[in-house]
Amino acid sequence: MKAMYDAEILENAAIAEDIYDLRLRCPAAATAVAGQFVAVYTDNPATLLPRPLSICEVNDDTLRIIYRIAGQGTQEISQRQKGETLRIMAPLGNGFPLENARGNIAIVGGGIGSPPLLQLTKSIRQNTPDAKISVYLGFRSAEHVILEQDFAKYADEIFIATDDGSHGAAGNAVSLLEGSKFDIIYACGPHIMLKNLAKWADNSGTICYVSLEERMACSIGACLACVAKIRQGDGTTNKTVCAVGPVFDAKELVWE
Amino acid sequence: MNLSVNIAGVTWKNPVTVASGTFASGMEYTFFVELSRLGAITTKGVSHQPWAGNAVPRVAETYGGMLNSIGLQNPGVEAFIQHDLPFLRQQDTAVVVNVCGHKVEEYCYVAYRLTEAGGVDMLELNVSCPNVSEGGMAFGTNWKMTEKVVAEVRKVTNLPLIVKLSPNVTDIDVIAKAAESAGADALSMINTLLGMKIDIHTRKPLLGNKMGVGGLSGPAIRPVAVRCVYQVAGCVNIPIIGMGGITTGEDAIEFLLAGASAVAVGTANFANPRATLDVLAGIESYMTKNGVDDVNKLIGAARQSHR
Repeated sequence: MKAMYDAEILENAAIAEDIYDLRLRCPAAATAVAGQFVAVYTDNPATLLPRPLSICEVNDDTLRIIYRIAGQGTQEISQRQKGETLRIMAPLGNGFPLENARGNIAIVGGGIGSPPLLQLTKSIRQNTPDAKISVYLGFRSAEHVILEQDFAKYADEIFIATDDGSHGAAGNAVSLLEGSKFDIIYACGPHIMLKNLAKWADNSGTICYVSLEERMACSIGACLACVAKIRQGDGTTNKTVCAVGPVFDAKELVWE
Repeated sequence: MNLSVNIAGVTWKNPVTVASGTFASGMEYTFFVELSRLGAITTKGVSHQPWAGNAVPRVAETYGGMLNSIGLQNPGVEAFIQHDLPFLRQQDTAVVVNVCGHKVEEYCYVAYRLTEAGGVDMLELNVSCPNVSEGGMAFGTNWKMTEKVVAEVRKVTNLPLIVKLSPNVTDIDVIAKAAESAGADALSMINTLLGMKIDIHTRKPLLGNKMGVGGLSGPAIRPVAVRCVYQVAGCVNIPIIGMGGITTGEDAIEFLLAGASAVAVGTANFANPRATLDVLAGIESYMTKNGVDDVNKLIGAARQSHR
C-alpha cells in the first residue's frame, strides 16, 4: 500500500553522464513490483512537486532507482548523500502484467526508459524459468549505455544499439527486433520509440505493454495532470498515467 | 478552543478545506488524511457532459509554484452522482461540489441535478477557470456575466452558493459585489493567475494546450491572494474562503486575519499529501501560543486593527 517514507540513502552515485544509481532502504520494498514508481520530494520550497522516478530493482528491503538529471529537482536529488534520508511516496502506479509472460519474450528499453525493465526481467526469470527472454536496449552512444551487465544476469540474450554505432549495432532498439517473432513485448523509452514499437507489434499481432512517462503533480490520480489518451468505444478517454498506468496495453493507446 | 466556523449557514468543524481540483473527491487522499478531520471537502469541477480536458503536458513547475492546464477534465454530473457522491456522503464533513460549465444553462443543470441528488451541502460556482476556451473565466472576468450566471443558478437550487473569483481582473471588488448582489452566499478566492512557461530548448510554450497558457498556483501567488481577500472583505457582507499558496498554519492565519472565514489548501497537497492536517495543526498551535480561544476572533482582525 502506498505511503510516505523517510527513506535512508544507501548509495547515490553517478554511473554515466548525468545518470545516477540511487539505493534506498524503504519498507515499500516489501510490496513494490516491476513497473511501479516512487515520488521523490526535494524539500526545497522552490521545487515543490515530487519527481516521479521508476523503480529499477527491488532487493529485500531496498529500492534501486536509476534516474537522469533532467532539471533542478533531479539535480538536487543527485546531491543528496549516503546516510541522509529522502522523503518519498511509494510504491505508486501499477506494474507490468505478468500473466502472459511466457514463450518468447522481448524486453525493449530506450535510454533512461531501460531501468524499470530490469526488475521486470528479473521477475519473469523467477516466475517463468523456461521463458526465452531477449533484451533490446538503445542508447545515444557508448558512454550512455547503462545496466548491460545487470540485464545479462537474467536475460537469455541481450542486444544493444547506439545512435552512433559506438557500442553494439548502429540504430535504435526497435530496429534490433526486425525479423524476430515474439509472444509478448514489454517496453519503456521515448515516446517515438514506443510509438514505432506499438506499430511493429500491431503489424505482427504481438501483445505489447508499454510504460509511459508524463509530467505529474500529485502522482496518485487526483489532479489529472498526467493523462494518456485511451481508445474507448468509438471515441477516446483520458486516463491517468500515475494511477491507471504507467503501464498500458499498446493497442489501447492513441499514438499521436 | 473553538475551531468551528459558519459558512453561509453551514457549520464546518474547522476552517480548513481543499482547493477544487487538487483533491479530486478525496478518495485518493484517504491513504494520508482522515477526511473527517477536514472542515469541508471541495470537489473537482463537475460539468453537465463529460469533459476530456486539455492536451499534455498539463503541468509545469515554476519557482515556488506551478502552472496547470488540466482543462477541467471530469466525467460529467451523472457519473459524479453515481461514483463520487455516495463516497462523499459517507464522510463526516461538509461537502462542497464545484460546478463548471460553458453556458449558463449548463451551470444551472448541474446545480439542479446535484441539489436533487442530495448529500451536497454547498455548491461552488467556478466562474474563473483560465483553462477552458469558452465559459469559465469569461464569466468571472465580466461583472454582468457573473451576475447573470449566479442569478440563474440561484433560481434552481436552495443550496448555499459559493462563487469562486478570478484574480485576472482589473477590479476584483466589482465582480465580488456583482456576485453578492445576484445571490451568492459566500465567495472563494482566488483562482489561479494566468501564466506561461517557455521551454528554452524546444523554443515553445511548455504547456500543451493551444494557447500554451496555464493557471499559476502555489506559494508564489500567496501575497496576491491575501491582498485580494483583504480588499474584497472590505466591500462585501458574505463570508470568504481564502486560498492561494497556503502551505502552513501561519499562511492560513494570514488569510483569516485578512478577512477570510475559512481557508483552502491546494497546490500544497501535491508537495505534501498531509498538508491539510499540517495547516490545521498550525492554526491550533498559533491559537494556543497567542491565547485565542475561538478561531472566529481572528477573522478580519488585521482589517480592524489597521490604521
